[in-house]
Amino acid sequence: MRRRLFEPGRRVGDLTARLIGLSGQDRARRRQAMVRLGVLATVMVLVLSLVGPVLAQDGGRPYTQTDPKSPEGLQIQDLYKLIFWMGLVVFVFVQFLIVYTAMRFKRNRSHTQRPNQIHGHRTLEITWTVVPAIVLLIIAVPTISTIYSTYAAADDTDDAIVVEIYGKQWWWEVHYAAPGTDDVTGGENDLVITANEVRIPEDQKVVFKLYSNNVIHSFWVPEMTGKMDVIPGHERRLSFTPQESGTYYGECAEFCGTAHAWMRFIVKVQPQAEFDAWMTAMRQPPGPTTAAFAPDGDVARTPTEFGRCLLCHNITGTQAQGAAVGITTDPTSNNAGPNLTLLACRDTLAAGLLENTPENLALWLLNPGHVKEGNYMYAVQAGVKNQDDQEGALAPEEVGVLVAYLESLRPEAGCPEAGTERGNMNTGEVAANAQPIELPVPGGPPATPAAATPEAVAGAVPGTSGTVLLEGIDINWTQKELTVPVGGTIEMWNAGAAPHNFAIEGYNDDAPVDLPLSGEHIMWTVPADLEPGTYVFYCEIPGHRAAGMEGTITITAP
Amino acid sequence: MATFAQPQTLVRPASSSSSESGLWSWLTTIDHKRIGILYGVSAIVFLFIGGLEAMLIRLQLARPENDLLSLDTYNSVFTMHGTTMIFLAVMPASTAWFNYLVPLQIGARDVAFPRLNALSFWLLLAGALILNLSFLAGAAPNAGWYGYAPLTEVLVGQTDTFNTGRNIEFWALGLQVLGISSLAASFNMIVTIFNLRAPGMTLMRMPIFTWATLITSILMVLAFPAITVALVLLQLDRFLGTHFYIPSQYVNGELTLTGGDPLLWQHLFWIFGHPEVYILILPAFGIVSEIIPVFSRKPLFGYAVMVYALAAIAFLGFGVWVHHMFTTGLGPTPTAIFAATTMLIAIPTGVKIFNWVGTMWGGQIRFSTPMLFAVGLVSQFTIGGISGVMHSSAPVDTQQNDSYFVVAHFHYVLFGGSIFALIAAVYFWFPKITGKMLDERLGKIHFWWTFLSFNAAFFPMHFLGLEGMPRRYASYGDGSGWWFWNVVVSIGSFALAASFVLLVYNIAKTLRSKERAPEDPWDAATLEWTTPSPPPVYNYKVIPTITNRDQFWADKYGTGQDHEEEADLEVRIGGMKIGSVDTEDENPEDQAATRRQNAQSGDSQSLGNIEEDEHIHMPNPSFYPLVVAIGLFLVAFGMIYSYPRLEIERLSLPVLSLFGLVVMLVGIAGWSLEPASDPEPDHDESVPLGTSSHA
Repeated sequence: MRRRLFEPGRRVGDLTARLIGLSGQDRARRRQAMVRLGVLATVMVLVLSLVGPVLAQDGGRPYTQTDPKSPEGLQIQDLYKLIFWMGLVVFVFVQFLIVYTAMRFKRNRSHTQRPNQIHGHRTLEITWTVVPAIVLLIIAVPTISTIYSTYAAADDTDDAIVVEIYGKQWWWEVHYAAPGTDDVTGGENDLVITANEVRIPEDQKVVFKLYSNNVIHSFWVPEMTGKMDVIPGHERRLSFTPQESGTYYGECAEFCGTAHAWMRFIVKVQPQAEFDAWMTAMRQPPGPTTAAFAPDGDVARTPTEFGRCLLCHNITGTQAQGAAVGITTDPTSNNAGPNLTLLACRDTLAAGLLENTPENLALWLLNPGHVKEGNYMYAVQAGVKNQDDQEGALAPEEVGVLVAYLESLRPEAGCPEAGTERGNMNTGEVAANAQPIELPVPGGPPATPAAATPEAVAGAVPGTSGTVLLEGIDINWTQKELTVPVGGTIEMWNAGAAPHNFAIEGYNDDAPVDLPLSGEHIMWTVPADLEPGTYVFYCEIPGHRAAGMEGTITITAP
Repeated sequence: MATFAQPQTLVRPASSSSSESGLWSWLTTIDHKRIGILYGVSAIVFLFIGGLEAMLIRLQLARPENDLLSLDTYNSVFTMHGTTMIFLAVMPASTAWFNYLVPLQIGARDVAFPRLNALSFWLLLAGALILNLSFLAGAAPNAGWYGYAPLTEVLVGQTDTFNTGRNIEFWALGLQVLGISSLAASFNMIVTIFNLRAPGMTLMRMPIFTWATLITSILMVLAFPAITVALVLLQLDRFLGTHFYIPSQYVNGELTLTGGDPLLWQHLFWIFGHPEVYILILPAFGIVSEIIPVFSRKPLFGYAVMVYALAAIAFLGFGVWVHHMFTTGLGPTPTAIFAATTMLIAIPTGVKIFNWVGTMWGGQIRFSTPMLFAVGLVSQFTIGGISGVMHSSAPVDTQQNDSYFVVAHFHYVLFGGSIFALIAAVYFWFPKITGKMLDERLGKIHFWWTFLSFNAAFFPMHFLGLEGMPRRYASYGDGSGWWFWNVVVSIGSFALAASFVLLVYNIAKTLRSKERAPEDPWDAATLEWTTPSPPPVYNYKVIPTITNRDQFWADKYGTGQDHEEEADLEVRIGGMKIGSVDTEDENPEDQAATRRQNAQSGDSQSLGNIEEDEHIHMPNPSFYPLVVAIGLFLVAFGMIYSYPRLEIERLSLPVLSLFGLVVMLVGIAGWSLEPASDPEPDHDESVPLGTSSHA
């Protein structure tokens, strides 16, 4: 076996030796020739591999920067090509010079005298100072003009749509500013808020304003143009004009902590009409598809199981409106989660990590730390990052309800889709192992998150309460502001592992309502002797209020 | 001609320590050659640790969705890979050569401050220990080797923070200790080179490696304060709740502007960080500039221009730091200016490449292993240089920055540059250090193996960058199109790692063999080869007088042919006559005789010539540098592990740090009170060293 392995090489050696006119016996010269050939082959391999990337791609090149789809990207590409070809000439020249010099001036037996002791050569040295300077000047001129034009383009928002991007750990919040507003706060003026997905009309210049309130990220869609860092305390801008409809892929390019590798996003470029349809859909309350999964069929309300999600997630047109967005909010805004409006229409979950399927959604909710190490879902209050070995806080039954509900967040007529998908950004192992299942039928029974949580079906009961919801967790209330009329009902429960209770300052400080650890829902009717007005409510367990477990409750007249 | 006298250092007859061996002699050594060896061995050890980290990175990326390492572990591993390779492998390896070679090359008996030299080494070890003990604590640094704030920050009094563990403490304090080590070593080298050169060695007669050492040391002295300040501010942010790098903080639930700025960190870091790149590469340029002439049998082409190029690169190196920040959106004008300065730096670098080829041109080149690696550098560094020019174009850099294209670039300059040269140096000076020749056949296999696997490991990274793979990604999806080249890179990396095993095998095998190397195996040009191998503890029995730049060649071959040729050329092609050699005031034959005397001093280990050596005074060994280093180590470690604490009134101080401070002060006191000298009875202080042995 061993000999056979070496035979082809020897035969090639013989063959090449014969080709370059050496007899098989002339071993020394053949060896010398082989060394030279080896050097040449190495150089050739290097040169060939410059065009190699094209050879090695099996179809999908979702992040390539070699085939830009915007004029801004093409401008950079042209500059790159200029430097590349000049660089290639320099490369070939220098490598040739080295190999040629090495071969021509190799020491041999005739060298009995030392060579001429030359110390330098002024003309030559001036030449190889000046020529590179000229080469660099040729590069510098277009470089500098491109720098200025790039910055100018990003500063000019006339005829452009403005999209605000907020880098979070580890996902992207996307705001569409209302026309005419220049809202750096990411506040209520923004028309539409979504996450990990940027939709842009075709042939429309977009100016991205980039913000962060945590660490530095970098916003990069390689197929469109270069990257721009997202830096706390600064507004940064980037602009491009996508020219072809389609799905493009973006990623975070500045190391930003644990899950930096899974901070991806999608850019969907679509015809103006499709884009408009999406913008409209994003501003509507959930459609009839959601009614079956919402309490009492009221799509403005979210299921009881969604209670703890309210702290971080918003859904347009529902009671889920209180979570922090943008940057000017409370300290937990770093950890606030993506807006979930039309979640079912998104391609991926967890910022590009998973394909958006019910199975993946269920697994993601069951154990976020296992799916995406370090993420903050459920861990906000504890101030720790999710690790693989941490259990998720949701019971399988709850996940079942949530998956059915979230999968229903789609327009009745179907998602306002973008053009054809050209590649698959990533498919997590979870997605690969999951069984295909039917999506929930509008108005039908809750979807089965199937393989992932078969037991979830039994417990899947859409929220039924018609009252105000209040959930205690460790250690906070998921609702910080309540408005209830006298005689109205607050449905409250303890979703945490620590004991909690409910007290209204100046009313029942001595006799708080206990929230059992079993998670049993307590229906508390606002008594008539509680005067209308605004009160502070809190958890009376020592330390809990100080830890932030308080909120305001407004009692209105019956 | 100016004459340089050796300063009066601590004196003691050389016989007292030179032949000692054993652990204690190494712990207390202040001999520059032994300290050089300690630096070198540490560098190799940490090169292997850094290499191991590289292998973990490559295993993780060898297939998509790999979960061999968790995300956090991966982040620590690449942070430590970068930090280790830069601060604990390449820099100490360069310092090893500074230490070993510079006093020999300038005809000195030791460095100017031998005990400070020992302290530099022990502090390197202390810093390295702090950085690596973090693994045992499960808190290895995890914010990348340039640790961008605010990822390194902890917001005091707030649960919602970025880096609450001790990871950053290990990193920051480890780097601070390493900074002190580097600064001490640099000052030492600068003073040594300016003051201890042998008579007749003008600056323009210094070996080019000594020039590289001088310029690198000046770079370190100017660059390290920037990172020291940056790290102090970071520690103030972390320990005391200042906001140097945090733009806003929540105070009572309100977002409040603090005036801090994350970009401040980036500026401070890269004002250090870019010169640091040249700190890593200039010694390599020096090494190659020594090796190529020897194996071409020709003097360095354009010596003066090579010196000016070194200085120009170092000077310009302080004016290009913003090219690391082209994607931070600093505005068009700063970006354009720094793009231009970055392009400028390519010119002196290009000059060096062409001058090396010019040195080879017309020579009689012998491709021994050191030469192979040196020429390998010229070839491979060019690739890194060209991709560097690509990055200097800021718009192009916005596509390439933080992608694998950049990873490819800096491995071509740091591996294809620095490490190729450092390996060349090992093969070249090994016979000087040990008196034994490394196996040439293994060496040649080693070179070609390294050359091929290096390109397999790093060239495809260009393609990964062009395909949009960002650096520092712990994982990537199946559909991203990155799998193929990642596999190639991983295979190449493992082959490359194996090449180092070959080097270590070669060293081990050679050390065991009894075969002695010739005293001047390469027909070398510089002064260190006029001493026996290994050199005696005092280096030179008689301090040589220098008349020529390539002194040893001048001794062996005379200068006649040299000058005739140069004059000849001047007429014919206008050859440049730079730093011309002044031989008027010396009798070359006398000088050659002196050097023969130095070379004849026999086996230094046996000290056969003790009678003749008794008038050469060398400094005492001292363990106080080690005590000071241990003290500083404890101070730093106490700041990382701040329990138990000592409570005095409102002050709360870590006990370990206080104890370390006491140890350090004891060390400093002992150091300064150590007997200045215990001279022999007939010692005459008025007689300068070097002249006494003429008596």
